[in-house]
Amino acid sequence: MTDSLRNRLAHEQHALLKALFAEGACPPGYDPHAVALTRQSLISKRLREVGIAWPIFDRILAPDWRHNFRSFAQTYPPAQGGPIQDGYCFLAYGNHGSFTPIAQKAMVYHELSRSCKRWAVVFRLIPKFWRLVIGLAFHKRVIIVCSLPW
Amino acid sequence: MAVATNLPLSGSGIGWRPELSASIACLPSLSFIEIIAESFWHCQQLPDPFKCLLNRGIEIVPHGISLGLAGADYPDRDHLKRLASLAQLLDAPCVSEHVAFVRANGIESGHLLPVPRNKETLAVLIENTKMAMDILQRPLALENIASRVEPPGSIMPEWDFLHELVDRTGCWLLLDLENLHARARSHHFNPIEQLASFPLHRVAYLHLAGGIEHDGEYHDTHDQPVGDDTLASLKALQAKNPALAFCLERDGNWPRLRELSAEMDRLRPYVMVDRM
Repeated sequence: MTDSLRNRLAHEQHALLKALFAEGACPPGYDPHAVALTRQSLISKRLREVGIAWPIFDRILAPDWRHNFRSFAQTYPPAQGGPIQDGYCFLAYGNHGSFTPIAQKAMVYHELSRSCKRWAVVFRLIPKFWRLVIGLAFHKRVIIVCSLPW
Repeated sequence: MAVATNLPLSGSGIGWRPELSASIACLPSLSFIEIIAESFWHCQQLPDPFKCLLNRGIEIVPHGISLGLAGADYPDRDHLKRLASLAQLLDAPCVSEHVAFVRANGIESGHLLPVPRNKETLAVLIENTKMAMDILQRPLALENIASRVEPPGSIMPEWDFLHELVDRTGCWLLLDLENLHARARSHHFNPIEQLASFPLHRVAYLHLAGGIEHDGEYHDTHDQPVGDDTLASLKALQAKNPALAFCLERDGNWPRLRELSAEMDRLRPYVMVDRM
C-alpha cells in the first residue's frame, strides 16, 4: 500500500545521506548552512565514537590520526557495524585499501583487548577488501605472523 | 489534559553506559536504567551489573538506536526479533526507539535523521511502527529527535505529527526535553509554549540531558549537566503531569559518583511518584 511512498522517501533520504557523507550536493529545499553544520557535527561524533571504541589509536598511531580521520570521514559514510567497523575502514583507508604494519598492529591489539588470549586472528571484510591478519602478543608486544589478502 | 493511568515506568532513571556502571551501582532511589539495545544483542544471559540492578528492583529498558522506523524500508524483522528477545531476557516494562531514519539505499548514517512531517511519511511510519509492535509484544515508546535540518515537505508541526502517530498506532512517546530544546533553538520556537500540544497523555517517560553552546550554535552533546532551559521545560511539564518518569542521559565527559548523584538529586523533586 505504501510502496510508491516508500520509493519516493528512499530517494529523498538517499539524497540527504549523500550530502552528509559523500560530498553530494545539498538536496533542493534544504538549508545548506544547516546541512553543512550537521555534516561537521556528525563527523565529530564519529571521531569521538571511534576514539572510544579504539583507545589503541591514541597509543600507536601518529598523533594526527584524528585529523586524518576527519579527512576519511569527509568522503566515507559510517560503516555498517558501528565504530569498531568504522575504525577498521579508517585503517584500510590510511594506506589506500591495504593495511600498514602499524595498522595491522592496531587491529591485533584491538582484538587482544577483547579476549583473554595471547594471540589474535583478525579477519575482516572492509568494503572491496578482505584481509587476514594473524598476530601474537608477548609481554605486551605484538608480532604480526601473517598478513594476507583474502 | 488527560493523564495516562497505566504508565510503563515511574520515578527516576539513568542511561547506563559502561563508563558509568560503577557509579550507577551506587546510586540510591533509582527506579530504572536504560541500556543501548544494540550493545547487548548477543547476550545469552544477563551481564552481572544488570543482575544486581534487577535484584534491587530496578527495571531495565532496552533503547534502540538503529532500527530506523521512519526509514523508507520495512523494518528489519531479524533486528526486531533480537530486540524482542533482549526485552524478554530483561523482562523490560517497555522498549524505546526513535522517530528517525538511519539508512537509505545502502548508506548508513550512524545517526538519527529527520523525515518530512507530512501525511505520506506518517503513513510509512505508522505501518513500520505497527509491524514493530506486533513483533515486540510490549509497550513501544518512540523518541523525538534533535535536528538542525528541516526536510522540505514538512507541513505538520512536530507535536501534531507525534499526536497522529501515537493515536493511530497505540505506541507511547519518549519525550526528550533536551532534543526539544535543541530543535527549538535551531528552528526558533518556544518549547514551553508548545509542550501542551504534544500528546502528553501518551508520554512513557522523559529524557533529560545537557549540551553546549559553541560559536552561537547549540550542540546537544549530552555530555553536560541538564541546562536551565531544559529544566524550565521539565518544571512546566511537571505542573501538567507530575507522574512522569525521567531518564538522565550522559554520553561523555563522565561525571564521578558525587556529581552524578547530585544531578539526580537536583532533578528528582520534579518527579512526585518515586520508588524509594
